[in-house]
Amino acid sequence: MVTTRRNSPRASLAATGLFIGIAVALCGCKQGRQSSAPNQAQTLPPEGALNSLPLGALAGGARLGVPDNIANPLAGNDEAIAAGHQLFMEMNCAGCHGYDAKGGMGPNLTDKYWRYGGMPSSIYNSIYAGRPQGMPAWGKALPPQDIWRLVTFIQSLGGTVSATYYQVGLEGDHDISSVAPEVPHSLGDAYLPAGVAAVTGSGERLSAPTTSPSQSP
Amino acid sequence: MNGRHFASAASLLALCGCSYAPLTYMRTYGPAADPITSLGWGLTIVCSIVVVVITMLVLIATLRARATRGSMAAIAISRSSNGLLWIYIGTGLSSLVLLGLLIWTMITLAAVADSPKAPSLTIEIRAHQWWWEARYIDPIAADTFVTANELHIPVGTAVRLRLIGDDVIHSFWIPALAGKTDVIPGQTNAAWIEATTAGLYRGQCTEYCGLQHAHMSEAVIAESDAQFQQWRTLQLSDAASPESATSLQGQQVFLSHCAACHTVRGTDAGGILGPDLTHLMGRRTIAAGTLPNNLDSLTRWIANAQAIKPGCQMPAVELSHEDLVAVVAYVQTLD
Amino acid sequence: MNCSVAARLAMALFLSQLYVPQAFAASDSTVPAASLAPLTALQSTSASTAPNDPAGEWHMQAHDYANTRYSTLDQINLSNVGRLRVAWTFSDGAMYGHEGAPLVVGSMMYVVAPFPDVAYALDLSKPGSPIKWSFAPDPSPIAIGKACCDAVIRGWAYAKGKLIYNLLDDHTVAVDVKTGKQIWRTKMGNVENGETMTMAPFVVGDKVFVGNSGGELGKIGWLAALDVDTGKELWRAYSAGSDQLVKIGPDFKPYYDWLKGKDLGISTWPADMWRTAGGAVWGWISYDPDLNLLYYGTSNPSPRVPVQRPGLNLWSSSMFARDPDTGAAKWAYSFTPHDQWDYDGVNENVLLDLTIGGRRRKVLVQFNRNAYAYTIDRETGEVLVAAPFAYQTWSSGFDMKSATAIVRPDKEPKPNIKTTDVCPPDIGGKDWQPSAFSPKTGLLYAGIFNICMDVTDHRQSYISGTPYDGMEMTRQAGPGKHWGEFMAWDPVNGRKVWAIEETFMTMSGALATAGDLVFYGTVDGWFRAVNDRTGKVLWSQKLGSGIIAAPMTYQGPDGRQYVAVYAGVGGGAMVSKAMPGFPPRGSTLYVFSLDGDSVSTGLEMPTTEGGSTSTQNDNSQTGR
Repeated sequence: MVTTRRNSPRASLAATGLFIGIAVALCGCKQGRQSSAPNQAQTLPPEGALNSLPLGALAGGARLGVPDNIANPLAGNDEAIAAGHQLFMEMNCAGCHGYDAKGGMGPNLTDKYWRYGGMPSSIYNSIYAGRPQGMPAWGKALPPQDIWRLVTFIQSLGGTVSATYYQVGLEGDHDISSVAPEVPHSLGDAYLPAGVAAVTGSGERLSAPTTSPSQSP
Repeated sequence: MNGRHFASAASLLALCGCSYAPLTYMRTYGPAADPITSLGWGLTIVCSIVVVVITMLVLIATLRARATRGSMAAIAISRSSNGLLWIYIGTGLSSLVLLGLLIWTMITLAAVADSPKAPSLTIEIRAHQWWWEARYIDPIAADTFVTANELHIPVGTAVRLRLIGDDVIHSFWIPALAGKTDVIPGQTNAAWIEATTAGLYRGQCTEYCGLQHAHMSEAVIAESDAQFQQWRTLQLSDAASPESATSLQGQQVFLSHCAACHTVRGTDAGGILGPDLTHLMGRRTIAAGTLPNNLDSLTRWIANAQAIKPGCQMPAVELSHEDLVAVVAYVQTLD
Repeated sequence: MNCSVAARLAMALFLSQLYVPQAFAASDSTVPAASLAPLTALQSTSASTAPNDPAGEWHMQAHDYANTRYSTLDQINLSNVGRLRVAWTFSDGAMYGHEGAPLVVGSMMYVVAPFPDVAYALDLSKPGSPIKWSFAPDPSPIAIGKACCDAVIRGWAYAKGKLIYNLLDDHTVAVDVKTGKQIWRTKMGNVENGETMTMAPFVVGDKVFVGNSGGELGKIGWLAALDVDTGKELWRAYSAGSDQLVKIGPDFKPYYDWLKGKDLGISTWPADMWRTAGGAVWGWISYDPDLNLLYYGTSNPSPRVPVQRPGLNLWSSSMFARDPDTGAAKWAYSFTPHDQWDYDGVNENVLLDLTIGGRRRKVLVQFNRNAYAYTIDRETGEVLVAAPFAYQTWSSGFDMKSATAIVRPDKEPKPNIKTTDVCPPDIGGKDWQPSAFSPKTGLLYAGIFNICMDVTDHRQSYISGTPYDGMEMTRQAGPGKHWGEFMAWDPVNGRKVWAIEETFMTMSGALATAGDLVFYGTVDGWFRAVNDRTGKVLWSQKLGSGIIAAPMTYQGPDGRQYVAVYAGVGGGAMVSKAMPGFPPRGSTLYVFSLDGDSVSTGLEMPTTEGGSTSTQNDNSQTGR
């Protein structure tokens, strides 16, 4: 004969209540875990295969993935760089842009020349909506976080430019250190609103140019 | 009190056979595991006997000591040589028994090391975080196909398993069929299983491999040869074309949102990052055993996989309600 | 060969070396062969010049159906080649790699620029070779990002008053040569999915044959026949799939047993992978009018990661002999079954008649990417000779019984592991750059490579429109540190007769002439004329950019012989772009004559009488 201790009814009720409470609390947590990427309630490219938007951004047509001037929320994040690198290989980006991202079928992503703009938001939109010379549109296949990871990886390669139009206007689409030393770099600072510092895409504060010559890719 | 505990333990053990314990290794169903189970039971019995014998001897010694009344001076100090005899007998018996168990263990290890008959089926299993990729190898290249998480094997056939890790160390374990074998990146481990009875054998990843280690279970379904051939022929075929308007629309949604990671043979979807979905509806579960494979779970999973299996490689895809309904309708055609 | 003949040859060789040492003297830049067989033995090697176009004209890229690229013009010859100077030049304004050769029909020259594939008709009779008309087809720019190896065009064809060529975005177009207006344009595939067209169409009678590119993007390869007059597609034969798709029927008789079987285009691939098989037809086609057979090769299998596709992967890295009227395959042979290194089989098959083993045989010779030169009986597909022509480490030998190379297991690429010193690299011991044959010497002349690679594979997903590739490579020069070599090859014995080492890649085609000259160019821009018997370089001219096109020669309306070649580096030569001295891009056609004389050169003031503008091609002005 087996003797077992019966659980008291009160104890089992308390346990059930505890479980329900935890489950409810977890549901609450779930809400907070939504992606923190910028608002993507834009029109997605029309239905169809991955490259159904062969001409990239339609003139005056669908809005792009993110507005311009948005900074990369994952900028400088080491985990994002590693994840972006992995995505770069898994999504066949390396097949067109090279395993070293120095170009091949597609353009070089490590140099300072950008066909469609080198700001993080332009690169995001290039990946999201595709571009006219064969860049596929990934907006449907990759969630925004993954596209930002790719952008972070590309930024880590050193070729991208500042996050905002204002900085791009100051620098041009090129490395500021390659400008002749006579140009006063503090000129830009003089036109900033008080208390606002000029910041590059990688988070560094703009400063006087270094004397090292620009590197060749 | 002792008796009651013992009785409850014994009855629990007895209940093992009839209770639902899918990961039990106390009852096994194949020559890759049966010798281990016998050895296990044998060791248990021998050890139990030894425990009983030793307990009895200790009790006897304790009680006999208690029975002796009187002063300390009355207790004999010198022992007769009978004491050494105890040691000789004890050590000798123990050595014999241990030697016997050693030989039995060696025989068991040899028996489970490799299949006695040549395996007629080879499956290459690649462990990902957190799902199992299974590639059925065949000398004819075209009869090589890929599936995920659920393996079908014919009853009574030895199956060679080649285990390769894709990212981190996992461990492949179908308790009722074989012992654990680690699945290590950069190294191919060989294992084998054979099921003597038809049935469903559940398994589990048994090497901590990250956030969702607990939600990485595999299953082996052993069935008759005819049923296996039927399943295999189905697996080799391409996915059927969807017919209804909703599932056709769902196919478009699938191709644009899911094809970069998943393969559906017969379509342009050729991604290898996630499981092959060509015949998804033939599986009992989705997400490596996390959810049953039914309409409700499919919808919840596709709508927000991160909520169910946070940290898994499937991102939370943003789909409109209409797209979600359509793509679920499409996935349901993947028999 | 019986003993007496061998003895006589040996005596002749011995005597020739005693009495005529200068004939075999080599300049510092040549590599003399170990032994030089008397060329008389090889001179019984011949080739057909069908369709026997006028000797001073050049109606097809390969000059003739047999792909000899040999001209009977001898006005420019050994005695005067040192007088070659630039007569006139023409820039077509497009900067992608220039790989094609001009066609000359009558007094008109036809060239097509690389993307955006604008065609020009130049009037050779007038000073300045003015543009009589130009035709701008406006292909889709998507194609630029889907072309694996530069937005090139590898040639164009002439037939029945039409200039026929392929647009990069999967169309074949025919242009009226009198007016420059489009006659027909046929869509052959969908460029968004990663398929492009770069090859030179090949015309036989009323049919034009075209094939696709896309083996690096998982596109299944095909060869199609179109009607020359209407552009209507007559048949299409695929490079994988069921026998019906591959057009394998009861007439199909491959020579080797391992190529016999039903639906090998499916069964040699894992389930369903034949759909993304590769096997693109982007190279050259030859034709034997007597046997009525077309010969062409197929590209590498897809993906380029072999562990993802166990099996022989037929019919990639192979070649077919097909009936041009129906497309039915008569025989096939696979150069590199289960190719693991991107050794396409698309190189030109030169059709020769020669004597091997005492028997007269109709053969074809192909310098394959895998560094073996094959002499194959073109009636049956039997491999008669297979000898390495370039440095290779991937195989340890060749088994003549099964006609397969013996693969070295340590040179098989594996995912995530670097395999070093794999030679030749993906671009091969020789790529598509075509060879030439001289009936006077019996030798074949080709630019080849001396390159090796370190390769790491990465498993790839198939994502439509993106590369289905997976090979991460670094390339370096092979032994000797030179990247290129221009050689003369003996197809009977499978031997190099002489070779000229070049620092840079030699990726231009070859041209052989009756003036005992062969012409070739290097990737850093040197265009050279060579004595075809001895390999001595007789004349060199540095051009404005690297040369990856095939040279050609023609007789102008003024009776002079001209040699023309495009200088515009790009294409596969870009693998060596890190070499110091690698040239920038170019777009110029150079035309040479003796002393540079032509109607476009002179002391007076000639002016151009042009017919058409070229600004429709001007990308920089019209915002393209």
